[in-house]
Amino acid sequence: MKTTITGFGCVCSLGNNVSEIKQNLFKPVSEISFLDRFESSFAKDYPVFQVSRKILSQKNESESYGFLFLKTALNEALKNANLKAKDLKDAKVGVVIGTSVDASFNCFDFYKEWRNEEYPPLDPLNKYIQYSPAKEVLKHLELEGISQTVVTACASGTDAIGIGAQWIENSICDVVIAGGADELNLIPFTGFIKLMIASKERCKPFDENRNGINLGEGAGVFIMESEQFAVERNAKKIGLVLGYGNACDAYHQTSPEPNGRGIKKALENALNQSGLKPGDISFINAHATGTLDNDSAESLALNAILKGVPVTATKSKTGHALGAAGAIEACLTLICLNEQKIPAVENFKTADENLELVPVSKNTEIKNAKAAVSNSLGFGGCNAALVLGSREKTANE
Amino acid sequence: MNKIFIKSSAYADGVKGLNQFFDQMRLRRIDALSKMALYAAAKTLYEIGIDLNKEKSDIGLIIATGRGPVKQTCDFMNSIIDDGDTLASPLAFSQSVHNSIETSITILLNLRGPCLTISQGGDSFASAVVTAKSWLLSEKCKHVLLGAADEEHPVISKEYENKILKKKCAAFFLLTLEETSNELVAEDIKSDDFNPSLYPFELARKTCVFITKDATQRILEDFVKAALAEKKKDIMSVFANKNIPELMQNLDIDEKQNIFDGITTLFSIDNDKVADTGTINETCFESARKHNKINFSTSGSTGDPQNCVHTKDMVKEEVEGVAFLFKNIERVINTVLSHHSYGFIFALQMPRCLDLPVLSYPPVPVLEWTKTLKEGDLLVTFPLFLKYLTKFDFKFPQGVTILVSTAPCPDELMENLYRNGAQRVIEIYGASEAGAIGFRENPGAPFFLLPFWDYKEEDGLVKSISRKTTSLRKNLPDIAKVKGERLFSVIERIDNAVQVAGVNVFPSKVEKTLKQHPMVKDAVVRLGKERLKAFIVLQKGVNEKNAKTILYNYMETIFTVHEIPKNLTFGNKLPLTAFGKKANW
Repeated sequence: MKTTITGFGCVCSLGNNVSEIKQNLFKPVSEISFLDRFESSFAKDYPVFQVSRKILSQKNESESYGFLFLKTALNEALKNANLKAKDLKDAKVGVVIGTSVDASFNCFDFYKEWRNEEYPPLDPLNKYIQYSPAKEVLKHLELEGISQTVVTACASGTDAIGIGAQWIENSICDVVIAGGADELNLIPFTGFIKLMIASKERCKPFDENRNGINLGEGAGVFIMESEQFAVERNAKKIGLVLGYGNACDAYHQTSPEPNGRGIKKALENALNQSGLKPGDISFINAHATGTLDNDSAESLALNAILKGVPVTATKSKTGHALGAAGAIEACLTLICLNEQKIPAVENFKTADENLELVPVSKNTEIKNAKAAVSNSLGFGGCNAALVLGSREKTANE
Repeated sequence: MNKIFIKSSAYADGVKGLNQFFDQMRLRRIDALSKMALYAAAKTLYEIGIDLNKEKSDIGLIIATGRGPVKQTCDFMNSIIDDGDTLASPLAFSQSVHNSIETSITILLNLRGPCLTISQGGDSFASAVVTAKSWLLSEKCKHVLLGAADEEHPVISKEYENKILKKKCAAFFLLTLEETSNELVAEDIKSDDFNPSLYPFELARKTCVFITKDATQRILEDFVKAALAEKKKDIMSVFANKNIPELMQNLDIDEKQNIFDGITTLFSIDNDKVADTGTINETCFESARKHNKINFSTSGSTGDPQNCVHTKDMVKEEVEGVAFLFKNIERVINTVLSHHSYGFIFALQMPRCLDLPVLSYPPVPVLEWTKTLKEGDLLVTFPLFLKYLTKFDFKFPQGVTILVSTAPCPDELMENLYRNGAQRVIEIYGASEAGAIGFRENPGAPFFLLPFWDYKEEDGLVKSISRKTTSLRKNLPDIAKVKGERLFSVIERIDNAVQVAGVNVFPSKVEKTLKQHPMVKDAVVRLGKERLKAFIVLQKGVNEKNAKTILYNYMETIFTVHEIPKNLTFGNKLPLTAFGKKANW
C-alpha cells in the first residue's frame, strides 16, 4: 500500500490547527482542565483535555461539538491539500469518519425530559435517526459519494484512515476524506469513571504508577488521493499511508487480551502491507492510555513486533479523545515524521519493570524518519495500526 | 471491478434457538441485541458446516448497525437519572458501546480476523458492503461475515410507531469473491433510516441456503439407512450408525450404485458426481445450493416410484404456511426419516424456520426415549409408532403435541392418544407430490385445507389444489368431499393405472378382487418387473400350494392377461415399512 496524503487538519487540546499543534506538541502541557460544559458529580475531580474556548464558541445550535471539531479539521485539511469541494464534483469521493459519541444516542437532557413525560421537541431524536458524521461531511461539502461512520470505539479514527486508504488502493475512490471526531460527553465521562479506568491525576502512560486515562476531545482529518488524481492536479504529497492492520482480540468487552495477541496481529498486518521491516520503523505513537491493562498488553505486542523502536505516547498531551484518538494521533505522527522528532511522554517518571518498555521521556530527534506506526486499541478488543510514511522532500531540502 | 457474492446467510428476530449453539453460562452477560446478532451470525456459519468453536483468522467481521445498542445506552442513562451519576451502572455502559455486538460475536464464534462496526443510520449496511468488498480485494481475509442488527428503541418505537415496520432483527451474510448465485451489490441496497436492518433481514430470508450442511448429512444418513434397513433384520444397528462410508462398506457394487442413483436423483446432482462416500455430503450440499430443489420419490405403492420436485420457494411457502400450528412448541422430538417430504418439512425445515431444537430417534417403536418427552414437545411420528405406544398404554406428559402423517391415523387411535394425555394430535394429510395439504385435530373431523392452498370444487369434490404463491398445482391423490369452506373429508384413494405391456391396468382393482376370494385374508398388488405381482395372506389352515393353483384359475376367469399377477408371494402378514405403509417385497 502506498496511499498519498495530500492534506491534513487537526484540532485538539494542543491547538486549533496543525500549526498551533506543531508548536505545542513539543512543549509540556501546563494547564490542568476540568469540565464545566455539563453537570457531573465527578467534574471537579477528573482532569480532561478540552478543545479551546475559541473553537467551542463557534458551535451552531443544530450541530454537535463533535461535528464542529470535524468541520474545523476538515476545512483545514482541504485548505492544506489546496482542494475545494468544487474540484471534487466529478471525482469518486469517499468519506470515512470514526467516532464514538457522535454516533450514539447520548442526548441526555432530551432523554431525561422525555422519560419524565415533559414532551420535549423531537429535534435531537430526528437528528440521531438521520445523522451520521460521515454523511454530514458530504452534505457540508455538497458532494455525492460513499460515506462510512466507523464505530470501533477507541480504534475508530485509525480504522477510518486505514479503510479510506484501502478504498483508494482498491480504486473504489479517487479521493477519500478520512479521520475521526469526538467530544467530551456525560455518558463516556461517567462510564469510564464508573469502570474505574479514569484517573484523578494526569495520565502517565507506561509509568509504574499509571492509574488510568484522562478524557480528551477533538478531530483529525486526512485527505488521501489516488496517485493519478494527485498527479493530475499537481497536489503536494505531505505523507503516505503505507500499511493498515486490524485484528480482534475475541477476549473481553472492555479489557485487552493480556498477552497482546490481537495487537500483535494488527501490527504485523500493517507492517506486512507496508512491505517494511521492523528496522524501517523510526518510531511508534502508542495507544498508551495509561491504564494498567492497556499499557501492559500493548507493551508486550510492541516488544514482540517492534522491539527497540522509540515509543512516544501523545495521549499524555491530548488526553484520550476516544473515536477521534486514532485520527488525532495519526496527524501527530505525521507531524513528528515531517519534523523528524517525537515528543516526550509527559508524567512518565518510573519505568515499570514488568513492561520492559521505556518510552521517550524527553523530546527526541529521529533522523531520517521515513516511516512510523500509530497504534490503537479499542473497547471490545478492536486493534488497529497504521504505518505512515513521511512527505516527499523537495529539491531544496 | 470484482464482484462479491453471498456464500450463506441467516436471519433472526429473536434468540429462541441460540441455546443449541452456546452454553447459557457463556451468554449470561450479553445483552439482547448482541444475542440476536450472535444467533444470526452463528447460523450463517453453522448452516454451511463451519465449526463455530474452531479459531478462525481468515474470516473478517463487519457489523452494520443503524442505531447500535441504544437500549443499553438508555439503561445507562436511566441509571444516572434514577440513582445519580455516582451510582451509574458500569455494565450498562460497557454494553452501550457501539461495537459491543462485534465483541460478543468475535468471542463466542472465536473470530480472530479483522473486525469493524459501522453505524450510519439507514445506510449502514450498504456502506458496510463497500468495505467488505475492499477487504476481500485486499486479501485481508478470505471471507467477510457481514451482519446487520438493530433493536427496539424505547423512544423511537413510541414516537415513530407508524414508521417502524419491524422492531428488532438481525441478518448475516458470509461474503466471498467466489461466484455463487447471489451477488451482493451495494448500489441495490435500499436505505431506510427507521428500519435500518430490515432490508438485510429480507435479503437473508431470500438468500439463505435451502438445505443446511447439517440437514444434508441427516437426509443422506436417512436415505442410506432406509435403503439398508429394508434388507436387514437388525435395523437398530443400522440406525445407530451415523457413518455413511461405514454403513455402505459391505454393500456390493450394484447395491452401492442403487443408493448412489437414488441420492443423485434426490439432490439433482449433475453428471453422476456421486461415487465417493467420503465427499458425498459436500457434493449433495453444493448441488442443493446450486439447484435450490430436492427431489422426493413416491413409495411406488401405486405404480413406478414418481419423482416429486420441491423447490426452495415451494418449501418456504409450505413451512411458513404450517408454522401457525406450532406456536407454543419448544422442542421437536422426531421419529421420521428426512429423505421423504413429511420428515424433510416437519423434522428439518419447519424447526429451522421456528428456531426449534430437534432430537431425532430411529423410526422404530421403542419406549425407552419416550420418557424424555416433556411439556412443549412436538412428537413428529407416524401411526404405527403411535399404535405401539397405545398398545403399551403409554401416558403422555402434560403439554405434548403429536404430529402424525405418512398413513391415515384411524379415529380410534386419535381418541386413544387424547385419552392417554396428548394435548393436541395434529394429523397432516399430504402427499409426496404436494407436501402437506390439510390437517385435523379431532377424530371424525374433516381436514382443514392449509392456508397456502387454493382449491377447485367440482360436484361437491375437491378437484384440484394449487399453491397461492408458487406454481405447484395438483389433483388430490384421493377422492375428497367438500365439507364446508376449506374443509374436506377423504373418501377413498384414487389408484393410478400402471402400464403392463402398454395396457393400463389398475392394481387396486386386482387387489380388491383378490381380497374377495374366500381363501384370501389380505392382499396387496403392485407393479413388478413389467407385470403385476401380488403378496397374499391366506386364511388360517389354507395350503399354499393348493391355493396358488386355485387362485390362478380364479384370476384367469375374471382378469385380463395384463391384469393377472405374474408372481404370487405368500406370507403371514403384509410387508410394511417402518412407518406402517405398504412395503415392497
